[in-house]
Amino acid sequence: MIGGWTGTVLRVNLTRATIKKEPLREDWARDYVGGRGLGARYLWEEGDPTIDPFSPKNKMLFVTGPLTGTNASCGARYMVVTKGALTGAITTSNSGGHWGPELKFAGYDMIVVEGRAARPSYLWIHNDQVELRDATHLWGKGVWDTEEMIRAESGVPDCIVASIGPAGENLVRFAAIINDLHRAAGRSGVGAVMGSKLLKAIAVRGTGAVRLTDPRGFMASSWAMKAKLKESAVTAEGLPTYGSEVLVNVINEHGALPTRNHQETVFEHAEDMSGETLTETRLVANKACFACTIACGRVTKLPGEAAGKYLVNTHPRNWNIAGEGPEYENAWAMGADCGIGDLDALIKANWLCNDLGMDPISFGATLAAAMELYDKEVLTNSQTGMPLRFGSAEALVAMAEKTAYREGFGDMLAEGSKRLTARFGHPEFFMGVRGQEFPAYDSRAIQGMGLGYATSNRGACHLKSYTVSPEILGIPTKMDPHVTEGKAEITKIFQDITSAVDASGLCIFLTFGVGLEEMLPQLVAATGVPYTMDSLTRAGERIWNLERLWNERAGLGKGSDTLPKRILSEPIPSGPAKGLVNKLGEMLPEYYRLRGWTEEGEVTPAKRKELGLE
Amino acid sequence: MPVLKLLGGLRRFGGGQQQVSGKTVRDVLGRLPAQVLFPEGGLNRDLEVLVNGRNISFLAGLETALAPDDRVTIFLHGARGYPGG
Amino acid sequence: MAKQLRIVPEKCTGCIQCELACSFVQTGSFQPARSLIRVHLFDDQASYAPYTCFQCDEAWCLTACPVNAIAISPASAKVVVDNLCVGCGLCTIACPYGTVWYNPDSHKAIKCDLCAGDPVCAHACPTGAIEYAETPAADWLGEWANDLNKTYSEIRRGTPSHGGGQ
Repeated sequence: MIGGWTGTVLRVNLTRATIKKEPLREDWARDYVGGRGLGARYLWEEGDPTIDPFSPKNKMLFVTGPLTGTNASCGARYMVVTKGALTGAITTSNSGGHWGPELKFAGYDMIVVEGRAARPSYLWIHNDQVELRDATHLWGKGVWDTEEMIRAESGVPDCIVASIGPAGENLVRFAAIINDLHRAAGRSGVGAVMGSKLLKAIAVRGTGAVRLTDPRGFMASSWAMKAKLKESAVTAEGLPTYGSEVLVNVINEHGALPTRNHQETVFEHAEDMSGETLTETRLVANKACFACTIACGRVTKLPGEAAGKYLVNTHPRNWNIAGEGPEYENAWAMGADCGIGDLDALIKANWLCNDLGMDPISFGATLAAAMELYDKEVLTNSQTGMPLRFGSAEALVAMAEKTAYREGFGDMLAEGSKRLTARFGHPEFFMGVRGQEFPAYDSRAIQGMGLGYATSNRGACHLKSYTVSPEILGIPTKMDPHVTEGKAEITKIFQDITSAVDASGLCIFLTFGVGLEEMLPQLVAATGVPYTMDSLTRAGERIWNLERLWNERAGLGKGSDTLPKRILSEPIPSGPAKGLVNKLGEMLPEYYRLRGWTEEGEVTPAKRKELGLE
Repeated sequence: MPVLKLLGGLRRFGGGQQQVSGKTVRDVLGRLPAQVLFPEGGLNRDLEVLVNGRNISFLAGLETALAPDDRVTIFLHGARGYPGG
Repeated sequence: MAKQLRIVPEKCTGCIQCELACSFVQTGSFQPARSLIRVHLFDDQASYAPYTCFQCDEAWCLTACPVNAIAISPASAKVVVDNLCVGCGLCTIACPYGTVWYNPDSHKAIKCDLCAGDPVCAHACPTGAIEYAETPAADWLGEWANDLNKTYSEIRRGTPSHGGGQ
C-alpha cells in the first residue's frame, strides 16, 4: 500500500442514488503521482471528451494528492477534474483551505461523481458514514449560508463544506466551487458542471489519520522545506505581508498589466488597487490554508461607509464581517481590465464572487469585453440595462449579482466573453484561448507567457506554466521577457514540473521559494515510491501529454494553439513594452519539436509509447 | 530628476515614489541602506531593478545611465525556484 | 517561574501546523482529531487561536481525578499517568477550558504534557504564535473570547460594532 493514500475511492452515482467504496488504482497513483495526474488518468479511462459538459455523462472527480493532509508546507490541495463548462476542454481546477485534507482524514483519496440527481442533493461524509441528503432547502442559497446551514443541521460543526452558489445552480459558464467560505476551485466552470448535476455541496468531517511509509524521514524533509521557505523573500515576506496583489505594481511597472480589455498595458490607477494599498488600508490579518507556512490569504474588511456605498440587493448580513481577498488575479480582472481602480468596489465584488460561487477572473474579463463593446457603441443601454463604461465600479458590483442570477444582461455575461463577443459580431474582442479568458499578464510584454497560454490544456492559464518567474521575477534565473529565445524550452520544463507539483497535493506557491528538489524527498518518504528528479519530471510530462490527448479527442488540440489577433498583431500602444506583439510563431514550432510532437502539434505514437500512454 | 519607485517591503525605505538625483543606477541605489543593497559590494541578489520597466540585466547593469525623466523601480524577489536556480 | 506555552493569538494564521506536529508525536501519523492542541478558526471574525492546557494553578483536572491519575511532571506540566487512569472522564468535565479529552481508542484521558519539556508545537509554529517561555499561568483566552463573543452577538442582532452600514 503506497503511503500517504487511504486506498479508498468513493464512487457516487447521483442518477441511481448509489454510493460505493472501491480500492484506489495504486498503479495509476504511482505513475501519475496523484491530484491532477490521477484525475486525468481516471477521466481518460471513464470519461468521454466529446460530450456536452452539462451532460449527466460528464464525470466530476475530486482528487487529493499523496501529500494532502500531511504537514508538508502547503499540503492543503485538491483538484476538481472534469470537462469544463466554459471551455469543453479537460479542466483541472485547484483549491486549498481545509477540504482536501478533511477528505483524507475521513478515509478517502478521491470522489467520483457520476450522473445527475433527481432533485437538489448534497453529499454528506462523516468518516465511514456517507450518504446523499436532500438539498432542496439549500438550493438558491449563497455559499456562506449553505455552509452555515449544513453545519447546523448536521450537528457536526467542524465539518468542511465545498459548495456552489446561485452561479453554479444557474449554470453560469464560469461558476466556481467554493470551500471554507473563500477558497475556490475557480476556473473553467466546474461549479456549473456541479450545478448541472443538482449537487449543491459535499460536506466532510474526518477524524482519521494520514499514514506515511517513512514518517521520520518525512518529518525531516518537510521541516527542511519549511526552513527553506523561510529564507525566500517572496514566501517569507512578500506573500504573507502583501499577498499575491504584491504583483500589481511589479507587473504594471514592466508595462505588462492588461488594461481595458487588453487595449493597453499600463494602468494609471494600479497603485490604488495594489497589494501595498490593500495592506495599509483594508487588511485585517493574513491567513493560511491547512499546513501552510506561507499564509498568503488576505482577510479584509470594509469600513462602514464603504460597505454601504454600492447598492447590492442580497446578502446584507455579510457586509460587516471580514472576508478574504482580493488576490492579484481577481483584483486585476475586475480592476485594471475593467479600468476600475476603486479598491473597495473590488473587495466587495470579490466577496460577491465568493458567496455567489463565481470565477472573478472570467467574470471580470467578460465584463471588460462587454465594456469594450459598449465603449465602441456595439452595445447600448437598452441591451445592457445600465451604462457599462470602463471604470464604472457601479457596473462591476451590479453585474456581479446579475450574472450569478442570469438577470437581464447578466444572462449574456454568464456565457463568458468568447460567446458574448461572437454573439455581438466582434469575436476579436475575446481575449483568451480555448474559450477561457487570459489572466493578468499581457503576453506581448512577456513572450514566454504567450506560448504558455496558447498551449495550456485547460484554456488560457498562468498557473500551468508560470514563466513570469524567470521572465519577470528572476526565479530561478533572469530571462528577458521581450525575447523568444529559450522560451520554448523553459515553457516545456515549467509545464512538466508544474504538473508534478499539482499532482502531489501541494500548492504551487511553494515554487516561489523552493524547487522540485525540496518536494521530492517528502514524496519519496511519504509514499515509499522511489521517485527521482527524472522520474518525477517524466510523470509530469506524462500528465501533460494525457491531458493533450484528451483535448485532441475533444477537438481542442493543435488547431487551438493560438492567440487573439490583438496579441499577435496589435502592438502595445504605450509604456515600457510599447510596440511589442507576441511572436508565437517563433516559439511554437520549437515547442512542438521539444515535446516530441508532429510539426502540427499532435502527440505521436512514439511519444505515447515512451510515456506508457498507449 | 529621475523618479525612484520602491515596491512591497522596500517601502520602509521611502514611501511609494520620490525624485532622486543620479547619473547612473548605482548613484541612485546608493541612497538606500548599505546592508540592503551591497552586502558584498554588489547588488543584493534578492533585488530586481528596472529602468523604464526594463530590467537592468538587459541594459548596462548598475552602470546603466539615467536620463532626467527616467523611472527606476526596485522590488524584492525570491532566489530559488526550479532546478538549476 | 515555570516555563509553559505562551499563546499570542494575533500571530496565528490558522495553519494548524501545531495540531499536525502534536498529532504526529501522539500517533506517528497526521491526525488532527488526536492533537492535544486545537486551533479555533472563527472565519467570520478573522480570528484564530491555538489553545491547549494552561497548566493552571487551580489544577481542576488533578483535583477532580478520583484515582490520583494526574500528576505534575518535572517540566511542571499536569500529566495523565496512563496505568492509573481508569477512563472515567471526570477530568474532561472538570477542566473549564475543555482541554482535557477522552481518547476512544485507548479509553484514557489525554492532555498536553509539554512534550516532557520540549513542546513540538512551539517548534512547528511558523509565526511565533506559540512560544515556550517563562510565563505566569494567566487566562489569556478569557479576554480574547469575550471580545469575539461581543462582536459575534452584535452581528447576529444586526447592531454592528465595527463599521456602520449593513
